[in-house]
Amino acid sequence: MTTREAASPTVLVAEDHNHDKFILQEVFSRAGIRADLRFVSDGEQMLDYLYRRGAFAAPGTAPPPSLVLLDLNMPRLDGRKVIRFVRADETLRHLPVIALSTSESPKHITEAYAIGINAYLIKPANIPDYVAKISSLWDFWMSAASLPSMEVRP
Amino acid sequence: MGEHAVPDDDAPAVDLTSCDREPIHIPGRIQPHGVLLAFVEPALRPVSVSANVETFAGLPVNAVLGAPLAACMTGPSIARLEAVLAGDDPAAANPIAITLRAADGAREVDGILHRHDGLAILELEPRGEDPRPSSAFFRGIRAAIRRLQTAADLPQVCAIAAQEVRRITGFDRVKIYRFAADWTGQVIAEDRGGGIPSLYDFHFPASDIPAQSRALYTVNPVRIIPDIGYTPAPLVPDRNPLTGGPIDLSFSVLRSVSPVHVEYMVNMAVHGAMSVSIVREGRLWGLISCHHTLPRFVAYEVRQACELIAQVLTWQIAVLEEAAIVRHSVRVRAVQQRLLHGLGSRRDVNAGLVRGGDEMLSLMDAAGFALSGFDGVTTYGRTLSEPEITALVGWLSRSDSRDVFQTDCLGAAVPAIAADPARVSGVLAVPLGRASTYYMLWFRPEVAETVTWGGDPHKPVRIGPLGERLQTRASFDAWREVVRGRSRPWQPHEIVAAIDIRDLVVDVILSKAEELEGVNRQLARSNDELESFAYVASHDLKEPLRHIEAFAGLLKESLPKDPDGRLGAMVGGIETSSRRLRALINDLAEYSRVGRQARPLAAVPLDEVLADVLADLRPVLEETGASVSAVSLPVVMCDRSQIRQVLQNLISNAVKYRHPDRTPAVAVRGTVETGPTGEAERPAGAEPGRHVRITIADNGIGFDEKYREQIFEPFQRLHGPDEYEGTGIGLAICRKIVQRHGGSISATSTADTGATFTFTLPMRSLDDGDRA
Repeated sequence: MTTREAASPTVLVAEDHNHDKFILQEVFSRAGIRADLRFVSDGEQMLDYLYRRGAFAAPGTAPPPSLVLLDLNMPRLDGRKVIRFVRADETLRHLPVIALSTSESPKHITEAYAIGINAYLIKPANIPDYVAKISSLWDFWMSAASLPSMEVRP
Repeated sequence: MGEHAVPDDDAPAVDLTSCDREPIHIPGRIQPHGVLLAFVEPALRPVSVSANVETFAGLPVNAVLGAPLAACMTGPSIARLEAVLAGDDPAAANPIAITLRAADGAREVDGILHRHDGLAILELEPRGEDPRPSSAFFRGIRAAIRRLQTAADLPQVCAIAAQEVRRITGFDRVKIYRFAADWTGQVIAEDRGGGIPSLYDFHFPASDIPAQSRALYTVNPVRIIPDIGYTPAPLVPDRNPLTGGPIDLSFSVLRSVSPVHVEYMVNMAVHGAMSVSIVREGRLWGLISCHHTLPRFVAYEVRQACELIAQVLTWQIAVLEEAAIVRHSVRVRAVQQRLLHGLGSRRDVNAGLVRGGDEMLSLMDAAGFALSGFDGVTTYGRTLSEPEITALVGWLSRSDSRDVFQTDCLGAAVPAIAADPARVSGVLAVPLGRASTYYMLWFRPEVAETVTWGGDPHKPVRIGPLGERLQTRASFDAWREVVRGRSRPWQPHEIVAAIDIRDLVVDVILSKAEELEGVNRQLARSNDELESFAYVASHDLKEPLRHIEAFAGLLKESLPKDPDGRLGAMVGGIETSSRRLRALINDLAEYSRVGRQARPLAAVPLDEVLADVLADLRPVLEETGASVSAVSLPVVMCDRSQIRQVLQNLISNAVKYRHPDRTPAVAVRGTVETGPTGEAERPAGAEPGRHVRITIADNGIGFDEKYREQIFEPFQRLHGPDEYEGTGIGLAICRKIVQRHGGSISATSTADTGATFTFTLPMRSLDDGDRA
């Protein structure tokens, strides 16, 4: 179990757009969340990170994430395929994966849940809204929800 | 007592067509100016001879029948006969010089040989006055042929033929007799001696030359009756030993004439006659008919010369007619080119045809033209009335034949159409296709023609003294009849021209349909592309916009101390502009979605839709104190969510543009109307002429009516965004939705008093839901 008070939990963010990375960091900061945000730009990099290979092979470059924020429409290996990998690997399948998207389309939302995301978050344009959303998201996954222990595996 | 009482002295419906049943090719008799001998080859012993053989050969029938020919003709004659029979084409050797052993010495005759029905038939004729035709005779023939070849037209070539035949033969009267399609005949040229009455232009009923006579004329072109007062000589025996039947004299030159025909000629005061057939493409076109007041014999070789003249005449007729047809078809092609040009540059086939109307009428020698089927009937010139054309086309489309229809007597062909014959008697109707009421029609007026008959053809004929045969009319005095209700007949090449023009019009229509379909496809495609573009663009525009808004938000919260609020105002400006841009992009996406997200139509009660809309608008209605009344909203076939959006946009506009001094009042009213909706195209399944009209009237600020069209364009606003919120897409979306449903939308207003928006939806049968 990790909590907000312990050493900063790692959040792996798969996001290909620099503006969005910047905005997300600002939002985390304004929400007063002390998190270690680690960014990858596409699905392949994300898998490299999770399996500590390629650019992330050196020790300490890829601390295990407590939460994954995933843009569903990324270049190369797309977010949807990454989720399938994660859910198929028993060492990773417990990871909470939150989809970040700009699409309000009910069809896209339904599809995202169908492939195994834990929550779907529409990126607000308005900063106060964004901050509020990320705060409640963090509170839920980092304190309200009880997640399976990394040590106890089925 | 029978039911069918027939008056004793009247025999209606009986005419000389009874002659059609007379077997004239097997009369069993010949004319006595010659002798007939029939053989079964190779034996040259006669199996049948004519009873008058004695007058020629001085031997009784019994001495000739079955006996060697040497009994009655010389050895050299027999040798020539044998040589001809051994050759390939015995008829080509005719006439064969034969010397008979008569009691009073040798007698020179012409032998005319032919084979038919298994028999070799030798006919012996007098050689005539001249021993042999002179070279002057042949020069005369050559001159005749040259004259025929110089003729410029049909009347002239026929006149020359009549003159030349009369010059060669010496008959009193030579006429060119032409058969019409119904086998009535007309004298179209004549040459006659002094004191001989003219028969020029006389018509004769078809029964005068019955069918089996015409059949014999067609195969055996020359016929001579030297003396109508002859006593026929019977064949002894009249039996073809090969068939057991009578001897077939179809190709004989001496064949005896039907007693009816003899009577006919006597009544005409003709005692010697000859006819030469004019046969064109296997059909009897006419006759060169020669009459003489006294008996007259023409020798075989002179008859051959006449046959040659008839042949040249036939060729000349063909050449002249074909030249006329070629000239006509050249004109047809020229007119077609101009029509094609006229039609090709014009959308409307009807207008194109009418523009070329005069030319087409002159081409078809018609007085009027009509096109039936394209939005009713289009007429040009003197035609039947539109109801008559509709009735005629109805009659044509019910008839079995889907082919060209033509008549020169509409009154007889289609009695149901009681048209004025002086206006239209001839009709040529060409179907445009399988669609049953699409026709091109040409019309010809009556040609009131005076026909001069050789005797009254309508006069009932009397049963004559010749048993069951009929007596011919006794008088051939001119009997004039005015023929009404007939136009000039349609010539075969004119019908072909009409079909050519039809094919051209069909081509143009098909290519137009193709062209139109192509344009429609292209339009639909570019529409689709535009809508997808708008959708994709709106999506892609949103992303940077979201970043701008986010950065503005971040900036706002990171502002340093800003005592005069200038920085805050600038960031606020970014934020409001971003919001407005977002609204525009969203509306653009929505506008593009109207066509993209088409749902099938369903029966929707509009009062339910209005209730939903009012529930949605409740906050603003309560805030403004607005009242909305509704009267007789029907159930319509529509896309519920789209029509809901229309009502929502119009009602929220009515409230939004309320008058500052009045509480907004909105009246929604539905009516079902009949009549044109103002839309050119009626959607599938729509009931013709019926539509629902919905009006939304308010008491707001209204608008200047000069903007009544402009307000329906996307992003057109009459007010600044600071005065009234909104992007100006609402009415554009309304119009797009209404048009998608096959209706129209419009607005009227008196500024400062209120505005009324009206939209129509076609009335569709309610079970026709999936057709949109």
